[in-house]
Amino acid sequence: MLRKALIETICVLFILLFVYTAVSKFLDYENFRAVIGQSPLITRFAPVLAIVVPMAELVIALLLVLPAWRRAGLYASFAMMVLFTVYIIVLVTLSERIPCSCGGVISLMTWKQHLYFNIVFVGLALLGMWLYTKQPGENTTRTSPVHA
Amino acid sequence: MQHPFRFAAGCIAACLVLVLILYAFADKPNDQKNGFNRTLLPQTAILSNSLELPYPAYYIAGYTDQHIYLGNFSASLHLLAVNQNLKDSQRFTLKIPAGDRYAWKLARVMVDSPMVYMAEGNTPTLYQGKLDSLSMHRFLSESCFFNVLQNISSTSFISRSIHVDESGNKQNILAKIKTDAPHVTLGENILTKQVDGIFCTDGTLDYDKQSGKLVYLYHYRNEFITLDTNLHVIYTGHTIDTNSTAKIQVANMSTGINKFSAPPGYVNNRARVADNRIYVLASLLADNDDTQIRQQHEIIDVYSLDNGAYRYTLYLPLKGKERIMDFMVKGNQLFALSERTLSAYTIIKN
Repeated sequence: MLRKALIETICVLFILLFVYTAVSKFLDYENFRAVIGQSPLITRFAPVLAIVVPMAELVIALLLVLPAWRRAGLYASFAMMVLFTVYIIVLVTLSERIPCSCGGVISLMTWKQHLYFNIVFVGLALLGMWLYTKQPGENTTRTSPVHA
Repeated sequence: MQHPFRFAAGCIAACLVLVLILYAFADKPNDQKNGFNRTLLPQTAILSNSLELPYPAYYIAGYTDQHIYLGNFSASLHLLAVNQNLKDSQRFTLKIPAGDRYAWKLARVMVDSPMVYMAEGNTPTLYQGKLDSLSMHRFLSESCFFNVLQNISSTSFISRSIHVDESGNKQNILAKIKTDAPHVTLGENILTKQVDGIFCTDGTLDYDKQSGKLVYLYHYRNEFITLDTNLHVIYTGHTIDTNSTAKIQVANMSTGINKFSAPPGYVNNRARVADNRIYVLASLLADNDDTQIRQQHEIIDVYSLDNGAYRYTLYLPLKGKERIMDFMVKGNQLFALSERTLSAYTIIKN
């Protein structure tokens, strides 16, 4: 039961995170597109990524909502968060100027906080994936009749 | 049970490879030859002293014979006075009338002994006070909005303001603000638009009391303008690099705000004028520079104030890894400010 509750919680957290960030990206689309263009790593792909990234987030959220696709959703969430995290680490360590819409001192703090935040979510996704693989045996025998 | 962790490890490796590939193909400043050379006889600057600052986010507010004054971006009324050999520092707080409201995040302090000013260009609000008492009172309520302000005397300032023409185009413009009428005089056609008018004209302003000249240095092109205090252009000079046009891309938001949409090609950080020389903190490597030089040094190119001709280059050894954000020159001493440190260098004349 605890395991199931944990998985549910992790999924809800990811759904909230991805829907929230995707919607805010779309709502502030022109700003988002300009700001990601400032990143030296992805300047060239900014117009494409500005659409692909929030779309991917929505798709992953949808996967997590549908029980049949939940496992794939957790794996995809993990992959997405690792990609974001690696991107931040590479950008902060290798790039001389960190592009950010806010000023000097504040942006430095925000990037660091961002990093910790991401690492927590990477951990959550990993936990979810692990719990899910341990689960199938019980899942089919015990929990499905309750739902039915 | 092994499955998710194998997936995780593979995923991390794949992401790392992907991002590193992106990095490898990214445009990096100073990656290619910049097409100019620095003089082969550099003068040297030797780090003589340094002081750990109590807080981050300081800027240079001015200096007197005895002290260097630092203001703080995040505490508008805080002032730190440091003596010449960086051995002694004193903290002060500017006094303003209780209940006064201003955009404190934007307020900057300017020390010009015996006076001290605090100004903020969004309201706009200017304060004036004596350095010995630090009690500030409002003055010059007839000023205009500005985003940069430089004091030139106790009765006049040079500002950089945003000018909007009949068709709604915005552009940075220099203006003179004085205590007597007409309070604001615009300096037309001094800053020249290349891309968007705001970002492409961005730069820094410095005033040299000794010669009575102002220098405006652009951030994104190899150009600086020397002016007198009535905003008459004396000459337009060029820094030694080859960026005559700002390499920037600007996106126009529907909110009316503009933003960079690609990494800007930064050329010059800051100019300071002293002793008939213009000191320019440069971002670009010359073809004959050591490619690793900026890892441990800051590059300052020196130009003649009389005609803008390039003289020589100073290589400042950095203390630690923090880059220099602002600096000033006084006699044979150069004071450099980084995030948490103020360093004093002695310039050795060869």
